[in-house]
Amino acid sequence: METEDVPDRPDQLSWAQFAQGDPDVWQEFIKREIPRLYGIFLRSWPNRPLAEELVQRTVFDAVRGRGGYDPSKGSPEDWILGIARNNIRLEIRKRAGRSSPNGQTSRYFETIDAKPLPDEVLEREETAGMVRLALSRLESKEQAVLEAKYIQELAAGEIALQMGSTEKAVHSLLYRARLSLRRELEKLTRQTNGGQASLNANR
Amino acid sequence: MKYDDSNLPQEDGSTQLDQNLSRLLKAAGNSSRPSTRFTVSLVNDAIAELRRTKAAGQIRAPWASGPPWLEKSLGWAAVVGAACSAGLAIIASILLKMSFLVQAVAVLTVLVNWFTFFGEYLR
Repeated sequence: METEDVPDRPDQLSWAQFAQGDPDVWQEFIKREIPRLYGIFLRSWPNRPLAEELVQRTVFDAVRGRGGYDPSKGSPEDWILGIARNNIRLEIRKRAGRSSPNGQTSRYFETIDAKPLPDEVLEREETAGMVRLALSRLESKEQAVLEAKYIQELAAGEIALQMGSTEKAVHSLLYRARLSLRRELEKLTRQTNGGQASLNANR
Repeated sequence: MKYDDSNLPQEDGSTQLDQNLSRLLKAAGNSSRPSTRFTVSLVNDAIAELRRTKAAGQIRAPWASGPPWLEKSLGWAAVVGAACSAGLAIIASILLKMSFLVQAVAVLTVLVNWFTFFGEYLR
């Protein structure tokens, strides 16, 4: 019957356009897939920066390898899911080949301005707890500017508009907020190390 | 205090604090969705890459956007062409009473030329 065929047609048509690299179809597809892929990666590792990196890698792998997509084998959604799974396997293999960081989270905060924090440290619940605690100790303006800059990823101009301030003032506030956060993290590090030292002395 | 940093990526030391704070704050957040800025930026970059590679692909292989059977057919035609040429080279070398070494050189030269030609053409 003709009416039964109708719902399939737009999908089949867009799959063919997708295979041909139609930019409009791809734009809609990528926009739709980013949150889904992000959720998949976040379930594998509770690490938002890594999830962003893996989403980016998967999308670019799909764009560059689009010649390998065959509409007769399935939907573009299943196809990109296969690429995402492959990237998860590669990440697992990469992690298996390197030594896992050892020691307390606080030790890594001591060199925060000199060395990149390992992914495994970022994924610790303890790390998230320490950062939230340090953030809660800052002034509300400093908290707001850090969240706008690093979580919402707004530009200084946008933050200035939001806060009813100038761009220069935002830069200055950001500078102070970064230093304050670092100071609070150092304080927490000292407290943790002090606590650990007295614990060791009592043993 | 020292710790094992063999698993750390290489990044620019001048902005290390900024990068680490960015990663720490993102990691400590509780959003299960990517930021709008990230999404918009990635979509734009990916579409730019799509257009760029599409344009480059069209210059190199005009049939790349054609039906998939076309590329397969061309591949098989290349194999048949190479096999026929090798056969012809063998027959010609026998008819011309060439030595075994000359025959082998003639056949291998024809095969290598065919594969080089198709390798360049299909790339």
